[in-house]
Amino acid sequence: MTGTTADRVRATIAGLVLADALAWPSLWHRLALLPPRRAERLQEIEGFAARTRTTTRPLPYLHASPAHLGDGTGCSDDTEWFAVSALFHNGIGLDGTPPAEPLGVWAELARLRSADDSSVRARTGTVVALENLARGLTPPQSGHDNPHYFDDIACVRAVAAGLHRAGDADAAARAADADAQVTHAEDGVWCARATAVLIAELVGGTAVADAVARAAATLPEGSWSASVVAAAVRSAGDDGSSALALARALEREVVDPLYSFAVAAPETLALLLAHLLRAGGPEDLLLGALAHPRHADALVPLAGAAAGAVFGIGWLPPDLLATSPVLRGVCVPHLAGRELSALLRIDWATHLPGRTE
Amino acid sequence: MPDMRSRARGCLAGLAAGDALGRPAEGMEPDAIAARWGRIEGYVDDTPTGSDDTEYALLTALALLRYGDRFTAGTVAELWRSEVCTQTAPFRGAGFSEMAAIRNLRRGIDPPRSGRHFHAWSDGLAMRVAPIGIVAAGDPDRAARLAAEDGSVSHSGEGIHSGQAVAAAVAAGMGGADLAGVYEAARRAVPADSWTGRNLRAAREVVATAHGWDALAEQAMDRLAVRSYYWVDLGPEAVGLAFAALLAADGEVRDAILSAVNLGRDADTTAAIAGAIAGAMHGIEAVPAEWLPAVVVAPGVCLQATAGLHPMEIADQLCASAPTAAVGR
Repeated sequence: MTGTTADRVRATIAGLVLADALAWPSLWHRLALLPPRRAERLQEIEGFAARTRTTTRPLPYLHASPAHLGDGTGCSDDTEWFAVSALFHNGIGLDGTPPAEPLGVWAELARLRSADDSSVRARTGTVVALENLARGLTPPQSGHDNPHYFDDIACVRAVAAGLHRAGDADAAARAADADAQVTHAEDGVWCARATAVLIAELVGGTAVADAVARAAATLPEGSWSASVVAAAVRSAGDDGSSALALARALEREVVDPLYSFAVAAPETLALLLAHLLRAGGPEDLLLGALAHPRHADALVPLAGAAAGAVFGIGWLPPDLLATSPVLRGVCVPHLAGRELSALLRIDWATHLPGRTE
Repeated sequence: MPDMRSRARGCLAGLAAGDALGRPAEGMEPDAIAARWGRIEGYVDDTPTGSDDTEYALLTALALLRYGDRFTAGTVAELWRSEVCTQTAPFRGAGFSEMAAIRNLRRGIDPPRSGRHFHAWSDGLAMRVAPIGIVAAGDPDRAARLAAEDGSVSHSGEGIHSGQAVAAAVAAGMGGADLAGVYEAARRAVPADSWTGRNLRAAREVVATAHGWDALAEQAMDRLAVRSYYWVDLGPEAVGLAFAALLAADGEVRDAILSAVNLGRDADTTAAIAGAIAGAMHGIEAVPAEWLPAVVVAPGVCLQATAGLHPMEIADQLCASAPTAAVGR
C-alpha cells in the first residue's frame, strides 16, 4: 500500500488519464475534435496508401488546427466514459444538476443520440444500448439486446464504481452492476463488476494478489470470463517472465485474434489481472498493457488506473497532479471543458473527497 | 398432404435454394436491393451457388446420421474435431462464431465453454439446425433440446435461442403444423424475456401492422435490424427477419424465400431459414422447380467434410432415420 487513500484515489484517476492518452486508438478518437474534412482526408490517404502499396501509415494530423488540439496528452474517450459513470453514481446529469429520470445521465445520452446521431460518439455496444433506451427498453434488456454486450468500456467505467465505494468491494460491485447493465449484459457486466471490486480493494489497501483473487472470484463459474481469466492468471504464474515475455505468452495462449473488434471484456480483464500480478512497478504494468496492441483502447487506461491504485502518486507527472484534468468532448461534446474533479466531486488540490452538494 | 420424405426434401431444398438466392443480397438493405435489382424474383447470378449455410446444415445432418440417439454436445464436438478442426484449407465464407469455436476446440476447450466467445449470438446455429427439425418431426420440444446440444459447441445465449426457434419451427412444420402452429413452436422454444423472443413478437407485429412491402421493409429494418453494428449475422435479427418474411408470405415457399431475400441483411441465412421452414410445411412439390438446379452436391468450399454430399440424398437419409432412431431421447 502506497500513500493515503486520498492519494490513491487521485493517482487512480491521474493514471487513467495518462494512460488513456497513451493508447494508440486515442489518436483516432481525437479526430472528433478536428474539422470533419480532416477525417475524410485521412480516409483518402488510407486509400491512397493501399492503392500505391506504400507502407507509411497515415496518422491524424494537426496542421492549421488550434494549438490546444495538438496536445496528445489530453483526456480521451475512456476518461469521458469513466466520467459519465461517475455522474451516474453521483446522481447528476450532464449539466451538473440532478436529472429527473431514474437512469440519469444515461437517459440524457439516449435522448441526445436519438435526436442527433452526431451529438454523442460511442462504442458500438454503447450506441446500441442508447438506441435500445430510446426505443423504450430498460435495464437489463437495454444492455442485453446488444451484439457487444461484452464490450470492455464498462470495465473502464467500473473504475468509477470502485472509487465511489473505495474500500467497500460489495458496494462497489453493486454500483458497477447498476451502471454496467444499462449498456451491457453477462460477461460485460461481470467483468465490470470484477473491475470495480479490484479497484475498490486496491484503493482500500488490499494487497495485489488478494485483490486480484477477490476480483476473479466474482466471475461466475464456467463463464467465458472466468475461464479466460483463469488461463491468464496461470500464465502469470510461470516464474521469471518479464512484462514483455508475459505479454507474448498471453497473446499466444489467451487472446483470440479472430474478430474484427478487440473489445471483449473477458480478455481485457484477463490481461489486466495477469500483468497486475507480475508487475514490479507502474511502468512495468503499463509496458505489459502496451504490449497488447489489439486491446490498447481499454486495457491501457485500465492499467494506468490500476497502477495508480497500487503504486500511488509517486510515479505520475507532477503537472497531472497539480490541476484537475479537463475533458475535451471527444465522445460527449457536452462534457468539453469540464474539470474531471468537479464531475467526480473530488477536491483535486487537497485530494480529499469533496462534500456532496 | 406431403409425406415425410417430401417434407424433408422440401426443407433442405428450401434451405439450399434460399441460401443461393439470398447470397447476392447479403449485407444489403431493402432499398439498396430495390435500387440494384428492383425486386429479386429468382437467381440473379449466372451460376447460383450455396454457401456456408448449406454446408453447415449438412454437417449437422452428418452428426445426426452418425450418432443417432447419441447426438450430444460431446459427440458433435467429436465430429467437429475429427472432420472440421483437421481441415487445413481456408474455411471460405465461414462465420466468426464457427471459427471461434474451431479455435476453442483446437485448444482443447470443450462445450459449453467452446461456444462462449465474442460471436456467441450469431445466426450460425439457426442456419444449420434444419436437419434437427427433420429428425424431430412433430416434436418441437425435442428439436429445441437437440439444437441446444448442437449449439453449445459453437454458441451460447441468443445464438442457441435463435437456433432453437428454427429447429422447433421446422419440427412443427414437418409434423404438419400450419403457420400459426409453426410460429407458436418457435415462440415456445425460447424464453419470453430474450432478444430472440422479443424479435419473434416484433416480427409478428410488423407483419400485422405494415401495409404493403415498403412499409414492411421499413418497419422490419427499424425494429429488427441492428444497423449500428457492421456485421449482419445476429441470430435474433436473422430469426426475426426470417419469421417476418415467413408470416408476410403466409408460409408459402416461394414468397417466404423471396421476401427474406428482398429484406436483405444476412439474406442468404434468413432466406435459408425461411425456406427450410416453409419447405418442411409444404414439401418438395412446393419448391419452385426452376430453383432446384442450384440444389446440388455440396462443393465443400467452406467445409471440406461436406464435399460431395447432396442435400436431397441427405434429406432421404434423415427421413429414414427419423421415425425409428428416437434421436436424443
